[in-house]
Amino acid sequence: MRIDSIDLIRFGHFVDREIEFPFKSPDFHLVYGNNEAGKSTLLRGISALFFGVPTKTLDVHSCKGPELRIGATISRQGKSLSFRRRKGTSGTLLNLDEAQIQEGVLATFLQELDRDRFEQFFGLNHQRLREGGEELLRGKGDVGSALFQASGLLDLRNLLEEIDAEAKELFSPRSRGKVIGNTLEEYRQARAEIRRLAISAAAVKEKQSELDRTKQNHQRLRAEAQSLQQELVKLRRIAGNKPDLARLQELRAALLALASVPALPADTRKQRDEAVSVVASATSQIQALSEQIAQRKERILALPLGTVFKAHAKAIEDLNAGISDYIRGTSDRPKRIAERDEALQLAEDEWKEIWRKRTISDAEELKSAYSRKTEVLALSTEHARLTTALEQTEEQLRTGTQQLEQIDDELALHPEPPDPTMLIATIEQAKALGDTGNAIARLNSDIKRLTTETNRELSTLGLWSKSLEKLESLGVPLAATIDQYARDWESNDNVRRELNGRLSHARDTIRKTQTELERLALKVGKVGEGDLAALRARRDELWQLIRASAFDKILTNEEAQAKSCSPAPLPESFAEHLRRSDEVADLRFTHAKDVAIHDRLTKEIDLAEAEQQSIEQELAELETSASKLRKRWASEWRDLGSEPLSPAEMREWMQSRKVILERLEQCREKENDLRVLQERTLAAAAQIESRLKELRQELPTDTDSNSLGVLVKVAQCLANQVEEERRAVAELRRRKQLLSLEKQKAKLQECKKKMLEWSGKWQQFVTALLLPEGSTPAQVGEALAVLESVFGNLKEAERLQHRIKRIGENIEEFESKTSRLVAGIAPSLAVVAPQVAAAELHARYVQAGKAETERDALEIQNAADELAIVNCRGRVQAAAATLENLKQLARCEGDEELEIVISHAESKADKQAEYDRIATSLIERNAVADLKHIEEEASGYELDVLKLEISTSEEHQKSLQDEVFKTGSEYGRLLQEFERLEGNEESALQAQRVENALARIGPAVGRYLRLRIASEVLHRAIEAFREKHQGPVLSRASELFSRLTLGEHSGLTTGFGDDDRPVLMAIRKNREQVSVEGLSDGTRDQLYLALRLAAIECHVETVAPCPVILDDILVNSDDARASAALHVIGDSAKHTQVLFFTHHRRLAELGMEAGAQLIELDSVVAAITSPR
Amino acid sequence: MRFIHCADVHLDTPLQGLAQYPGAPVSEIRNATRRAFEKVLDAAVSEQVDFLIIAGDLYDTGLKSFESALFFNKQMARLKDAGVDVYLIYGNHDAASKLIKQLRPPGNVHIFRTTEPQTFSNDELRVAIHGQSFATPEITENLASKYPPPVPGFFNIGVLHTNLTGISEHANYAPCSLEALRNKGYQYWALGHVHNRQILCTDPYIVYPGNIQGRHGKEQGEKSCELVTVSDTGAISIDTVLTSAVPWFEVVVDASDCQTADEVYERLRIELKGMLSQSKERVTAMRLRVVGTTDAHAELNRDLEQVRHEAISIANECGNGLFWVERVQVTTSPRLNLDDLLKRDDPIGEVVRIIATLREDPASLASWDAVAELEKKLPEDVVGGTAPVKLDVLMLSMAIEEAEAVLLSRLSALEAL
Repeated sequence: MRIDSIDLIRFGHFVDREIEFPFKSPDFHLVYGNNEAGKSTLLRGISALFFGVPTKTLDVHSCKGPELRIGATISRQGKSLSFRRRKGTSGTLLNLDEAQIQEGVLATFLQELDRDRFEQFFGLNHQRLREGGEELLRGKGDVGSALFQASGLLDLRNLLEEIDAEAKELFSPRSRGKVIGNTLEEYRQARAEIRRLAISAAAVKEKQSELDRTKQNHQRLRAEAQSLQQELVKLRRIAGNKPDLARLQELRAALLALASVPALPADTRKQRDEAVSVVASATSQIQALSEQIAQRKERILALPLGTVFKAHAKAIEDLNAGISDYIRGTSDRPKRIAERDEALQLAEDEWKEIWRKRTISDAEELKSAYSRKTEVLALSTEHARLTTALEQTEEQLRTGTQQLEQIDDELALHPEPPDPTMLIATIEQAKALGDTGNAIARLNSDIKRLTTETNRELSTLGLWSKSLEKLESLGVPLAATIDQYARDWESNDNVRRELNGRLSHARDTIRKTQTELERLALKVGKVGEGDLAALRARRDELWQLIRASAFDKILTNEEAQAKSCSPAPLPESFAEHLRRSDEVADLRFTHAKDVAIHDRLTKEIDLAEAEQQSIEQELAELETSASKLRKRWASEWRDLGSEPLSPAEMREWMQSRKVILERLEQCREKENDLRVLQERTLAAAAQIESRLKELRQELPTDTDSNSLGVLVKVAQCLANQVEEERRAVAELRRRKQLLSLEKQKAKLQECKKKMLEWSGKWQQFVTALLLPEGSTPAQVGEALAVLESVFGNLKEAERLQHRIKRIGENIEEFESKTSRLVAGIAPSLAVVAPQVAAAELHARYVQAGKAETERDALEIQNAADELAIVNCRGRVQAAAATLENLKQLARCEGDEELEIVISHAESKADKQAEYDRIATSLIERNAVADLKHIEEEASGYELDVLKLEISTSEEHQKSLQDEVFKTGSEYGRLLQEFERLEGNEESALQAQRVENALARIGPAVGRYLRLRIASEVLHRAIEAFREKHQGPVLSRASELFSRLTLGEHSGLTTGFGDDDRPVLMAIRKNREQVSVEGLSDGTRDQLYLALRLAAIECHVETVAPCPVILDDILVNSDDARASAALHVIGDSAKHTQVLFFTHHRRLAELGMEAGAQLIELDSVVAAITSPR
Repeated sequence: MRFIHCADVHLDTPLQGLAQYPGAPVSEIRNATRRAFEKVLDAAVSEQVDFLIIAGDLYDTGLKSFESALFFNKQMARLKDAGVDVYLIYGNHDAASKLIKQLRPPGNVHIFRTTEPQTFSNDELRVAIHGQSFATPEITENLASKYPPPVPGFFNIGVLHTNLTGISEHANYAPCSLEALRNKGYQYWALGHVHNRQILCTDPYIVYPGNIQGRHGKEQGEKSCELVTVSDTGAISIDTVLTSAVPWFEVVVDASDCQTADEVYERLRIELKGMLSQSKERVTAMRLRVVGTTDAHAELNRDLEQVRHEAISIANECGNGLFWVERVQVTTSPRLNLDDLLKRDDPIGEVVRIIATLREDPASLASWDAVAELEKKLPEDVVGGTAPVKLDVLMLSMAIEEAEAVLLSRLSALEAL
């Protein structure tokens, strides 16, 4: 398969580009482009074309993913396919109409190639070349590995080491490895633990009975302790009751003594104390309040009245606010008056500088003229511009007039030359014929050579003595007919050869067999099986005759003798035959082996003779048919005039004839070309001469009119001369036309007119400004500047006058308001300055306001205190009523008597409460219904005896509790132990550990097997591949290596490495063998390249051609080695297409020398802006 | 009347095939069978059943320590307190264990004798329970044929440990036919021995409840026991009580559309997140399988150990620490055509051809150093023969396939143009 063209429709940065790879042997294309020109894109494109665009492609920057398109035309064995590829996951192969087509269509071209195979085997870049060299070194030149690498798989050694290391990590026969060994250890430990933990049924039963015994003992002791405890509780209770019962007795006696005291409420003392306290405090409060009220009333009477100020409050406030303005105004007024007068004086002084005869009051008249100041300034500028233009125009007019006079003088000297256009056209036509002289000479030489060669070959052509023309018109059979005859001829020859072979073999067999037979005959004579049978038949025949005559009597002796056809008497004859047959039989028996051979040989001779006859028959038939074939063959060549040779020879004769006739044809074509060229040359010369005459040009006298080349050059010179003269005259005319004096004159006139208009406008302004007539723009400008200053000063004087007036008005208003208020409120202030009077008024107004506020506050406080006095009196009355009530309850009159009754009542209540509390406590503590039961129970015990009894019981109880605790602990321990057994999971956990370990071992073993099998398979594959490919690939690689190293190495061979594996060895020029480690890096790279190219060539030869993509693989080679490599690659390209990508101009040049066709990618890219 | 029917408890048997790795929920899988059995008992107490039937294989053959029996007795005492009777037959595994017969269980546990069929009747509930224990591990006679005729007016239950349907993966003990059981006239047949739940007939009910806890990757899904309610009219309704303490599930990831291993992992992540609801906050043993013809084949097979690590990491992340990855199987196939590879005259072709030869005769590998060394150097109770790790044809075949995948993926990964 080869790529005819690639159509980069929308791919990477390519849009609508087509790159063609036209076929020429070698099929070697050098794709040259700078970095970024798109080489990598194109490389990806080729892969994408055949095997689809990867999902994550880089090549979508000129379009969106679905719009990506790349197309190609590829061909194989005369068939071609044009197709496109889009981006997608399925159905991405399209025809040129964008309809989907089956991938199978492509498969017939790809020949079972897949992406990996294509990229790895048929692709090579610089990096992979380097890695290949290094890998050769790592593998120490192992031949199998090297061949693997040559087929595109690098890093094989790494892969093997990687797989082996992974396997070793799992298991190693020597160390057991980490993973499997560790897991096995864990498995063993868990198993041992299970055995250790196993408990038996007997042990369990023993534990259970011990548990039961301890439990019973413990329960008995516990019951005993409980009953003792109950007795102790009772004794302690009675002992506790004794003191309470005694106290109850005492309380009963005390209560009886207080029986006559009346019962008072519990808070009686509190009520009495509160009432007494209220009366005392309220009385003292009333007295204090009354004193305060009297003091406040005196203060109110002493405060001043402020009614007058209140009425004029607003006016006084305003006046106070205006004091500072008034003081500032009286100080400012004289300053402003002085400033005004100064401004007026300045204006008048300036005015007098320009307008001496006029007063400043006239300034008002000039205001309208001054307002048009901008127009005056514009007119000044206009004046300057007009003056300059006028001067320039006058200068130009003067110079132009001088130049015109010069041109007219020159034109008068040069007349108009004729037009040489027709001459030039004729010359161009003649030039198009090329170097006619040389062409004619070459044609003549070709014709002569062809004629000579044709005649020579005609003379050597056998079977022909006639002319060339007759050879041309000779009737000959078609090539297919000759081929058919050749096949028949060859078939006949083959059959004859075979028959002759067989015949000679048969004769040979007969001869050899007969010799052998004769040798045997010396030993066993005529003892063949046939001989014996004949003897026996004759013997039997004779016996029948004897029997018929002697025993059966159906024949007489004579008749029998006659029938025996034997001269000897019948009995002797019979006896003779009997003896001979016995002899033969005996002989056969004695020499059974030789006899058997003899019999076999006899049969073989018969068979061989039959075979010989049959072959001779076939040979005769063959000769007949061959003779017919020869006749037919001769009839095909009847026009030849002589007997034809064999078809094979005649085929060669036909080839020679074809060569002669082709030469004849070439010769005729050349003659024709020569004639046409001569005619055209003559016609061209004639035309040039005629055109020269038309131009009145004479050829130099020494011109060779027979040479068209000379004629054309002379004519060209003349034409150039005429053309030059015409150009000079035209230039003068053009310059004259450009010098237009009329225009300059009109421009001068225009300038003068504008100046006049300006003067009119200017005078108006001069008059309006009251200036003397004829004032210049400079003078007017000065007057305007003065006027601007005068107007400024006048305006300032006016502003100041206005200010002075306003200050006076403010002073007057303040003084009048002050005098009015002073007259109304405080006439005593009429003698002081207005601002002082106003300030004093304001101070008095503020004082009056403060007195008013204080008076209001005092009155409010008095009203509140009077209300408080009323409240105090109410509380005194209520307290007195309470005290009265308490006295009635206590059945007494005075306050002291009340106090005694209250004390007795409180003591009685306390004693009753204590009695109730103790009684309730006893009943509750003893859990009985009444006190009686408790008193009866206690009456039987004396307290001292009771305490002794309790002490004894407590000691007994303590020892008993120790016992219970002991048995309880023992029972608890046993129970816990038993329960632990019931809930124990340890064995089960260890069993789970065993399973967990096994679960690790199983997969680890599987993984180990997988890796070891992979490693072994790879070793075997390398070995198998080596055995199969070592011969052809190494022998070709050896040749290529020699060429790539420029003969420094004469080739490659194999030796044996440390582990007896075959290794590669390079052979130096001096026949010395070097291992791969002994080669330089660069040479190793070349070794790898040689292996790769050899492998590719072998593949191409045995499978199918496929484009080889080499991406800048020679960047590090010097020119000589790069050139050698490119020539080697060029040779490979005779077998399959090679695309060599580079960005080195030098490599491109060397590549072309090696026969590559150059494709410049930059020009392809540059053309993007101007698509096809 | 209500009762629970369970079988094949296999108390204290470990879960097989769970290799430990960092992050695996080791402590949570402890004694899964005990916890599953506790679930059965919890249901018996909370549902206030009248009795519990255990249809054989309470223990496992390998029982070496008495701990399991003590645990069982303790649990039975718990049922005794709740007033629940227990009817138990010994199955083939129980018969193989001599230990357990030596400890007498509490009085509420009724064990069927081994010599002949026996009937326990309860006049109050009007139920008759017939059964016979296995005397020896291998009973090949038809026990059911000698079971007594039904007690008239009673609800008759037959308890039997048998391989009724002749399922090949279980030993064919106490064989009998479905028809024979149907014709016996009992109302319920409580069967044991087969580990998958099956209701073989509903008139009468003939039920295998299956085992209560899956013990390895082949016993997948939820495991359970039967809660049977019999109304006064004799109508039977069955509820399933889920009992697995550690369920086993298989998650299959179809990698057909995936271009890269990362895409496969993303798909696995989605699948595993979906499993969280099924795990119901229990530790769950997961078998993960990646299948399909995929572009990611080479990348996955380049380093299967790496795939396992990735899968475990994703399981840890998605399962909140509850997922235990038992096995990661990559059985994907490449898009490339093996037939085409076979024809190739290059190193890959050689590899594929050698593998093809091996594939035809995996047993020939036994003579290779790799296999012979393993058998020789590893202990007999671990590798080969009847040991847990069998270097049999199946394992060798699998190793061949995996070796091919590893080689092809790594060879094709050797740097391209």
